[in-house]
Amino acid sequence: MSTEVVKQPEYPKVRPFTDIIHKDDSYYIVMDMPGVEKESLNISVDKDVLTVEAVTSYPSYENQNILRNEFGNVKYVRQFTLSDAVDREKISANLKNGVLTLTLPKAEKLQPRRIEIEAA
Amino acid sequence: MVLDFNTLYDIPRTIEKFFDELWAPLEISQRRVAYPPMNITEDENNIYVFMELPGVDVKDLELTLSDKSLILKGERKPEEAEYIRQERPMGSFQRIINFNVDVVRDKIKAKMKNGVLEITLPKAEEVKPKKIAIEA
Repeated sequence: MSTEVVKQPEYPKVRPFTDIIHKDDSYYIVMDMPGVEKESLNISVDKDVLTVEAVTSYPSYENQNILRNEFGNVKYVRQFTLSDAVDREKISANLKNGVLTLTLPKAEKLQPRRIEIEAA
Repeated sequence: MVLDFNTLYDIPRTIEKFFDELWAPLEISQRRVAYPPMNITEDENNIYVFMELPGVDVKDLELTLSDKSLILKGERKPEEAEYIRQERPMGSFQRIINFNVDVVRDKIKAKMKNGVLEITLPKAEEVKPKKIAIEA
């Protein structure tokens, strides 16, 4: 008995349209990702690079006659470099109606503090 | 025999054209002429129209059927906030689809899933391909 490994079809890589918004003391990254199911969405942060990857799941038009074709299955990939102003631990994501919204709250500024000097 | 050396005289121009063509294709990758992107397919019974409309609510869309055409109108409004980067297409849009067959108006269905609008237009009975039995 052989084990079949299902390989994901290689869709063309595309950068999704993205808006970056500053509102109410947080940053929002809003991306157009129609056709994407939550399961295929992959968001990760490595040092200061935020990577978003997702694959669309449009059904194939097998038994149909195609009259016009302007979009198809793609792999959405985009990376962002985060500044220190963003609190990495508190990044949250929401996928609704084909729109991915990443909320990047601003990091609380460290209060200036005195450094105690120890007597030698 | 005559050799035409004319084409060789403008070498700078030839080199420029070569480089232009080399770089040009890279810019066209994500250009769209009309918004929203649309796919139209059909089978024996229906015509299917798919449109990528992320973030648009069904109630913000206006679908009008007139004789042999379907008109979709809507608007994507930007947020009231400071934009650091703005790429997503915004504003009002309209697309008109003309079909060559009659459709059953009352049975048209439209549904929105994951930001994709799918419209199913059933073809009128008279238009469907039918087999004709041949009598011996």
